[in-house]
Amino acid sequence: MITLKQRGRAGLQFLGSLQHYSSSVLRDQAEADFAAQPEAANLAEEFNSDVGPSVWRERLGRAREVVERSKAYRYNRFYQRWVGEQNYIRAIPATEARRAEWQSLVAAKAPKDHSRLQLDPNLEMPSWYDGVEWHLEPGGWDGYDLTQPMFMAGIGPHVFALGGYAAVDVDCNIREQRARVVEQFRKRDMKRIYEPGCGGATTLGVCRQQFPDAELIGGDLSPALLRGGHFISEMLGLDITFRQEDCTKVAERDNSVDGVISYALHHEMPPAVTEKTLREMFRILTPGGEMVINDPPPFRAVNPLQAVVLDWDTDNRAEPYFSAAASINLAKMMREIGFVDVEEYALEKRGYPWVTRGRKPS
Amino acid sequence: MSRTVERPARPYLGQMELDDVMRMNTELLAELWILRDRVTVLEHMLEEKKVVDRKALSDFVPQGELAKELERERSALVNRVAGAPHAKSYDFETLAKQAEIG
Ligand SMILES: C[S@@+](CC[C@H](N)C(=O)[O-])C[C@H]1O[C@@H](n2cnc3c(N)ncnc32)[C@H](O)[C@@H]1O
Repeated sequence: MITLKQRGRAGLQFLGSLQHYSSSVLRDQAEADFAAQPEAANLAEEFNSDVGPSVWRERLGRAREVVERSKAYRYNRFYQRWVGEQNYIRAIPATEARRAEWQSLVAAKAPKDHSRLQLDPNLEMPSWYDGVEWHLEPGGWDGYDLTQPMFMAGIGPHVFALGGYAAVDVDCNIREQRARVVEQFRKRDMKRIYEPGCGGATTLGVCRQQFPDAELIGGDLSPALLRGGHFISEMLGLDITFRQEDCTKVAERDNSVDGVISYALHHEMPPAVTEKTLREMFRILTPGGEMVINDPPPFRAVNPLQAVVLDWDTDNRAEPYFSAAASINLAKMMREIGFVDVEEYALEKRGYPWVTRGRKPS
Repeated sequence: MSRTVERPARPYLGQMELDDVMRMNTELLAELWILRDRVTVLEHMLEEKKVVDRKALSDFVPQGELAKELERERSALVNRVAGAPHAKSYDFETLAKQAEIG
């Protein structure tokens, strides 16, 4: 992997430290300020019950008013937004300065075998997806051809690794979290595993560690992320097949995979698309096959302050479907589709990772 | 696609100008850190090449001309920054006298 020049490295490390401060010291103060408000207890009680999206909007509006009384919270949000922007403002020039090094590394290590990368230039991007600048990244997932080194050498280790953004709590280990989520498969004798919205090779790479002999297939809309995943997979010998496809309509045959892992996907799509995706995954699962989902928790599973924080991402960190996704009940949706033994639970504090899992009846 | 992310339309700190000042402040804090990181790396590299002894650098007390130079620069910086909101005018004579300031 490449390393960044001093200016880029130190600047990104500063963002990591600032976000860490904001998500620990300021966040703790904001929690204390909220708890001291006369409305706090009633709001907490109210937030436990499951309601429809319009009621959530109304509840969140009231909770936000109370939460925003805290000066620490207002500064916390200012810094979260600033870091969100600066991730790209600093990482793009820093990565660009290493373009030649990266390109020669790619040229030297470029995979010779392309049979495991199946791109579809004719695939139509869904209108709800096209043009979204996810997480404030100019151009979104496919906006920058060096997005892979930008994350792997820059934003990933220097900022994201410290946690404290979106649903990811400060000081958690995002690598270990991924492994723990994959451990939630009750079935351990997997022959084929599919990941809808795989992005790169991160989650499937963990699957490879836990299921050394399984066939692994990942589908995604973004060619840039799939190419990056393929590059890493071939370099590390992970033997993963990447396919450009919409997860509501995948190439797998009926009853053909025994595990589906969905990681950080549903909060990036409208609930109707989530429902279609779950139906599609139900179709391809073998009888007895299992689906494990990790996504930010629903509003009903967290305290009002955390719900306000999650809701904030929708308008402030280019996550247009975050609130809609946190208003639905994935477990209920899975049961309605036909999944059985459906369970939902948090693995760590503040409701994340939030796991929903279920089986297709045998 | 334009690949352009717009600044938020609403302030986070109650007033757009306050956000502006905080953006400047945070930007400067980042710049300050980058510089401190660089100086620390520089000292480390110079020490490795046996050009500078970091302990001697910390213990060094500037005297004479060097002390005067630092004092001059320090008060010019204080005047520029702390004085910025209070300056009502500026004039040629004062500016011309700043020719030697680094
Ligand atoms: C936040 S990323 C998560 C990536 C990966 N699962 C991981 O854990 O690192 C969400 C991914 O879902 C993909 N995605 C969103 N909607 C999709 C759809 N309808 N079909 C396939 N992929 C989709 C995006 O392109 C993006 O790569």
